[in-house]
Amino acid sequence: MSQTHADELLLAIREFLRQDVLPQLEGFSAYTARVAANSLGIVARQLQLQPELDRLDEQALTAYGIEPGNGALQQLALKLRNGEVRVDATLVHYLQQRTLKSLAIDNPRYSGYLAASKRWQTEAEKL
Amino acid sequence: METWSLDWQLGEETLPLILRRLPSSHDPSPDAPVQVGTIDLSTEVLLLRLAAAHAVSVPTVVLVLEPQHGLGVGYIMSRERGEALPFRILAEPGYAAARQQLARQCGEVLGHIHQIPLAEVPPGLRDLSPQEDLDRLQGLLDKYGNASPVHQLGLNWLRQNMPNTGRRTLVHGDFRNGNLLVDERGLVAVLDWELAHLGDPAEDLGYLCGNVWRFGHSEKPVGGFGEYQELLDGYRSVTGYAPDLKVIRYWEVYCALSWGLVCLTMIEMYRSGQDQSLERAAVGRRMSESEIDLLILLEGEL
Repeated sequence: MSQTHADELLLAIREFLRQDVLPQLEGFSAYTARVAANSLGIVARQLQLQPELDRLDEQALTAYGIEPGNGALQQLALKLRNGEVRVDATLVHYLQQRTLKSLAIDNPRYSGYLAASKRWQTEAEKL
Repeated sequence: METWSLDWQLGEETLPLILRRLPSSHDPSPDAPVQVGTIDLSTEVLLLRLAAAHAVSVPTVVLVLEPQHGLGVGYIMSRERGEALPFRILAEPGYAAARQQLARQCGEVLGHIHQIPLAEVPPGLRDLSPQEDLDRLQGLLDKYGNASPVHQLGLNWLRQNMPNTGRRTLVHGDFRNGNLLVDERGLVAVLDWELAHLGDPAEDLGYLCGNVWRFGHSEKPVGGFGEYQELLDGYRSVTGYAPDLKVIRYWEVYCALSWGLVCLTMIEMYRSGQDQSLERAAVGRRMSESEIDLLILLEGEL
């Protein structure tokens, strides 16, 4: 047994918002409470999945001479802007996998995520 | 911008109205932060009247506010009956017949908008060449700190694949499910003209098909309710011409990137303190939606 984990607290607050608070609200406040509950879900998923996202970045970015960490994605974007990086299958594959992982955190119900995860994850498993 | 729903009691009669005005706290100094790309309220009034004069269904402007009204800067228009919430339009059985008609009707009304003579369009609308417009988007990506390699890939692709239709018309600029008022029989009115500008008319057709504006119904490319062919047939019936699907697809890529820029703008508004609502902060988190849509559209094209 350990103390309550951070993601457990977040999910408990989310259920409180959904089941106790939301039914008492209406109009814009009810809408905002739903947004709040969803946002807590995002934070909980990020706590869980961020290490995988970091690992993806570490594996990919050093090939472009970019130190992983804060500002690494900006550096890659700037290199693409200035034509300093070749757009090849490796880069596209990395960006696909990275974006899938981001959506698994931000909004796993998004239609584009559902479509792409079917396609690209099966491909990734084949590799 | 504030939008108020109000009822005006005139003796026995009740007039359902909408008031659009600048927030009362609005600072009119040139330094005040203004949302990118929007037009001012007086131009909005001119556009609504122009559209109405050219067979485009829009709310009727009933009063432009004057200083003696004491309500600030803005105007009052009719509140038309109908539904604008995409989830209702796409899901409720009462709109089943409307969904059958809507794509074709959107094509027809866009045809009418694009046939408005440029000489009648009010001055002050954004008027950039396709090249300049992409420079503008690059400027925004730079301003927001080049946050996304995928956005940059999208913009690079847009530069390399610019269609040259040679057509230039009034463009609504935000013509999508959510800005269309719909009743049981279909389209009632076109709302939200504040992103209107001059440009390639195919932009409006492709933007309507952007995946983000299909609201989960990706299998129906036009707004989540219709097929490409219905939209293009409706458009052709008015203009005698329709862009090909490759050009529509180009503007779907553009739409995905502009949704990304909306998310970045929300993050900026939140961080700058201009609007610290939870809604702003949360929309900022939807940036990855634009990235996945871009990567899907550009698969095999990069």
